Amino acid sequence: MRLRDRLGARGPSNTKANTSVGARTGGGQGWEQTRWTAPVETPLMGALGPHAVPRGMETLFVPDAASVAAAVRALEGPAADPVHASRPVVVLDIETSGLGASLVPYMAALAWHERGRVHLMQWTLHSPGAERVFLADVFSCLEGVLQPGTRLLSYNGKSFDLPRLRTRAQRLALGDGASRGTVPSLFAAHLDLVLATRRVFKAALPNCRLGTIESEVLGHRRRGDMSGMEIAELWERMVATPRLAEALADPGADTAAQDALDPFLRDDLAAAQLHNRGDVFGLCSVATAVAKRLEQPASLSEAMGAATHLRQIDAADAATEVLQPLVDGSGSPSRGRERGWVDAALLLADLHRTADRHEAAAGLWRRVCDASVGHVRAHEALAKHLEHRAGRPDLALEVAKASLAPCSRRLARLEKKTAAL
Amino acid sequence: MMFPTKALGRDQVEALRTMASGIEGTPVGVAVYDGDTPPDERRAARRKAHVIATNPDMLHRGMLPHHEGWASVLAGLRYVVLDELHTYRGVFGAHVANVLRRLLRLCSHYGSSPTFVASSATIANPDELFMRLTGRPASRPPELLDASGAPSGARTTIVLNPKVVDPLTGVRRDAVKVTRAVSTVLREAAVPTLVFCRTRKAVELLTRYMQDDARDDRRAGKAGKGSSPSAIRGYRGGYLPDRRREVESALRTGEATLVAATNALELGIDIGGIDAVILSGYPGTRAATVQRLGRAGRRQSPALGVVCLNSSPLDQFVAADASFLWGKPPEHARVDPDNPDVLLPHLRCAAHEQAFVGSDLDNVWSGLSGDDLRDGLEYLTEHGALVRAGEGDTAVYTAQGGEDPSAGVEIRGPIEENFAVIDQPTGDILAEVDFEDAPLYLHPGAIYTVEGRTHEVVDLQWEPRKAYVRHVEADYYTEAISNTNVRVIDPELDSAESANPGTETVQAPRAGQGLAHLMRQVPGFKKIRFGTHENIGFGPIALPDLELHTVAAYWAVPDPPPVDGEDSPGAHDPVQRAATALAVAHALRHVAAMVLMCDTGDLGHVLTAGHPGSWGPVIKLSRKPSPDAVLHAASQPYIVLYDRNPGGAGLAGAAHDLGLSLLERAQTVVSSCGCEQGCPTCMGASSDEAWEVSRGAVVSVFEAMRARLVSEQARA
Repeated sequence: MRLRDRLGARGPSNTKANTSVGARTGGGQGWEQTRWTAPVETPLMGALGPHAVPRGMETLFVPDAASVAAAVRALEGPAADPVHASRPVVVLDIETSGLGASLVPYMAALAWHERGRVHLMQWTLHSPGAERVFLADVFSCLEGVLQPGTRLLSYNGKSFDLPRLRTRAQRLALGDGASRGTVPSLFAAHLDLVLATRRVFKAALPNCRLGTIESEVLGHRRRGDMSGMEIAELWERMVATPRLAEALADPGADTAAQDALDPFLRDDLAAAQLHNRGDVFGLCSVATAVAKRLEQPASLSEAMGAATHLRQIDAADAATEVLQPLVDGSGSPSRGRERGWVDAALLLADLHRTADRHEAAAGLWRRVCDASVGHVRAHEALAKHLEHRAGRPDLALEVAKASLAPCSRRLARLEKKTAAL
Repeated sequence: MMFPTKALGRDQVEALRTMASGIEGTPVGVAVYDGDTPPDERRAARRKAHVIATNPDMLHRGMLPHHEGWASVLAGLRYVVLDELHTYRGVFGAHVANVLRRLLRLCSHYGSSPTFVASSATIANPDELFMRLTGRPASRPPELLDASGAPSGARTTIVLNPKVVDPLTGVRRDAVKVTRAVSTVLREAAVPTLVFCRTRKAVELLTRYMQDDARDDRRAGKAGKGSSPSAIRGYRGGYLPDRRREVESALRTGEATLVAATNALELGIDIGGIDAVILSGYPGTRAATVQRLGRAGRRQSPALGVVCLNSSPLDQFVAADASFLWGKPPEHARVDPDNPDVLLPHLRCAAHEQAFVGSDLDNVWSGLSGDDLRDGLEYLTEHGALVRAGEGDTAVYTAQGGEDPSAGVEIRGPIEENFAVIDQPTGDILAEVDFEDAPLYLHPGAIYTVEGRTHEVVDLQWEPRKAYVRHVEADYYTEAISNTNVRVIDPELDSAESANPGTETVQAPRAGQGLAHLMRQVPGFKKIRFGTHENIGFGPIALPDLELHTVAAYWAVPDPPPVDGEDSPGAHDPVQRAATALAVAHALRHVAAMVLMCDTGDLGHVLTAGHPGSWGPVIKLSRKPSPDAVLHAASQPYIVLYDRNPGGAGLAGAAHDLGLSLLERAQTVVSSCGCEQGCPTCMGASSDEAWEVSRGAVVSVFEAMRARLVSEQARA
């Protein structure tokens, strides 16, 4: 018996009774579609086997719908529309050939919650001629799973995945009739995690790439993962391979197409699919983790980022709550010299000021002036407060003078007012 | 606003900005979008500009394939201005017409329908050209403004035919020398003058001569205002942009008063007021003559034009009757946007920009009915260039994603990288030279001149495209010698031969079409003394041959049939036979260009001999034919008509397919031309008396070619 046949006989026996592992569920000439489904809150690798997610993500699981819905609410703030309780998100991620107007989205994955389980559908394009049917299938699936209140969840989808998909839909004239070229589901409510993530972790992490977040926040360090560059190049290799679609359609067949196949191409394609699945399966966990950091930041710089984000989504009170204990609890002179503390205190003071808690704000500015003598912004804010709110130009003059870069016009005005007293 | 060249766009934008700054109220943003525009300026052009100056190349490769980024510009597009409309003719014009169709299709996608405004130099058919380029239906002709409202003064044109210096050969005094003498008169009279030369080499020669003359005058103490060294300049393609801008501005400010230029200055670059124009040699077309002479004259002051002719047949034809320049309308500009070789690649680009939908094919591509367009798309689909989903009305034609097809469509033909001319030891780049010209001007030992200053080429590096030169005070210039060989690979010819293996003598077919292979060799160069133009030496050149692979049609040239049992005079003289054949070729080429609506410059014709599938030397008449060529001409001569664009644009094949009708029309042109005994218009260079070609002989060759074709068709 040949090894290939033996390996082929091995596959299905590994699957659990009610779990289909990467079942090829459809496709057509030049593209394929695979479906993965697993219980939530259970490590995916245990449920789906070793080839479901990249190595290093052994403990990765998908949180249940309720947790994800809560995370979406936390990330979007009080003003956002209601979130669908049992299907809060459809996770979306595509892999493309390079950049520019002529790129091809050649791989796509969607994941969503359904009756206590997570479903992931993955599409792979094998030949450029099939792009239109391939995308039509992705979009029809997307349309089918989106419910009212469901968010598209992505990492950098706002500036990458969705504009690219919209462009391709437009250029390939997808759809019918009057709406030809426009796919409504690509304009559905969208939560791009990169925005909140950048705000929270900008100062704490060297960069905010998804891999960095996974390893630093979730504790999953992928091993042997493909880089974006390799994924873009892979498409070039696929296009350059004659009769690729034929060879991939029937891996068991002993045809000339198989012989023409670059021996590493099949493995690399599997690696790219693994990378794509890792991104999509992991994103719900990233969402819950970032949402948790909004409430309980792990450091002063994260608290700053969380407060910035919360303020941005009209949750100023929550921002104050996050910052207050950290600023209060670390007001010692030694911490005062830390740049992080000064910035946090100034942000908190600004939150107080915009909420009309002027005394609280003044107290913080004073502490900053004490801790970091001559701090320009703190001295200026405090001087303004003393002049205009407290009616003490004399004290304001003292504070203004102590600034490292006093404003000469303010000094002149305050001196005049003080003399008049 | 679309300009044919970057330089022209940049020049006009300066003027536009000045105009725009004078407008009260809303500021008007004028942006340049060309290959030199840095990324942040490109973004600003997309977002803020009201007027964008660009060129067809950028539209083709920069804007249309990335139209999403230009959506707001395209949606709000009110006017498309085409400057120098007459330059968009022939194959290049057909490409531009298709680029404009792509633009219009995207405009309608984004909901705008811009109005076209165009300006053109003097041509016979500006309105027709406008309609063909923009795809405007004949039922809605454009409004044509062809009278100038600008005030102008008296205009005097002198046509100078130099005196004969050798009564035996009829050779006349060199036009360059005559031009030099005329320029001296105008310089001494302090008349700002532009000297148009036909070649870049002539620009360099004249610049040097005019500078020498001015220096001599200065030394003699009779120098006027126009004799300062900075007043005399040269201007041509190949100069770096900085140098060109500098000369243009010196012309505008009046610092430069005597400038020798090629047609690079013919287009609308603003050069201020010039009182006189000298043409060194007839420019070749009446339109170009009018355009160049029109450069002189400002407001009401009088303008002078001097046409210095040379000994060539075309120039001498003008000399014989100077009213030729004004008596007839200027040349037509022809363009055929529906040429499949041009159209199909653009349809593919268009499908890449936006899929074609089966139910919506009418009126989306000017000049093509819905059915025609479907046929074109189906053709592309069958050949794997497009992908179709669905049938009939629901069919959607898309380009395969991935590479942008516009990257593979060269609207000006393939362009090889230029050579940089680098000064030693400074390392400064002095000029750039087109790839094709490098073996002629940059071979080691060549004298390369820039505004009259001589440099010797010390090293030519072919692959890096660099030529190193050093300044020398040479009293000679160099002229490379080039030979061309040609062969035609006709698939039918090959199959006919393989069908009859073993036959000793294979009768070569009389006419056919196929792939042409032209090879130019540059074996050596001559050294020619400045001033006297005497030959003072020779040197070899060892550089790669230049090859052109294109499509071609060929016709064997039969001997003129005997008249009254007597061979026609000269029937057995190889040179005369070749000259006759060249007259036939000239007529075929010009008529083919007219019928196929391309520019005569898009086609080339050569005469060779022997079997078309084997290499034959190109037989020329411009100088004494080589013994080799005479030997070949004694055998059966062949006319080869080929596409000048590498790879071809299907023109030669289409000419061959015209068959009898092409031969008839060409014969009519020769026989019914109003001239006495054959002129450059109908017979080309062969009309020169030196070759003793009679019009009757040319007509009878046509008769023989037609008779043979008719009998071949009858047999088939």
